[in-house]
Amino acid sequence: MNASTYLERVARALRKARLDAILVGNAAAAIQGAPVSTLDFDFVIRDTPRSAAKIRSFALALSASAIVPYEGASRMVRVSSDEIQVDLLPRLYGVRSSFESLRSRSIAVRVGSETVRVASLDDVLKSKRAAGRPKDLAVLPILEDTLREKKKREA
Amino acid sequence: MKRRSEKRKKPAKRIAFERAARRMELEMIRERLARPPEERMDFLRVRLPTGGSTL
Repeated sequence: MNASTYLERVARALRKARLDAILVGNAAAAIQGAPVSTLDFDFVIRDTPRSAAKIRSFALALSASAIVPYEGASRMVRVSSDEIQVDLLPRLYGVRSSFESLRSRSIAVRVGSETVRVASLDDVLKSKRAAGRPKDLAVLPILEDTLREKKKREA
Repeated sequence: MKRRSEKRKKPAKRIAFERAARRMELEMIRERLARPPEERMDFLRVRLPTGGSTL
């Protein structure tokens, strides 16, 4: 299914809430060229004292609910409605870089009338390797092949 | 008699299948990379009410 409409809505809600975010996970990998699919959008957000208020505004703009599904273990916030699921992460697991550094390696992609920052394939790959869950390990070979092909094209 | 430590050889059909799958995967990657990022949006799966998901 084409993600443009949903991603545009998410990007608009992020902009309205003034929430700085970078798309990561399989959605980012797919936009970076990997033939993978996903059920949701994962974003790393700029973690500031005002993040909680901004996340509430973001959820409101999407008419969605916001919960912390793994309280105690993770600060990830899940914003979901009947149609969209967005996971907001305070940092990218396995990547030590700051938000600014992650952002400097990301690309800006136009989605309808909005723009989304998409993490580099290198960063997505690092986080998948570090996470090490079966679903992450399963896509590693395809992400590695995509990165290799991408580098060949850029050479 | 076969020794236990002896590695079993992959059947030729399986090797051919693996090669074809790898070739197809690389073709898929190259095809995606040839498009601009804005046109690589066909990645979203939706949950089905009966369980599972579809593209």
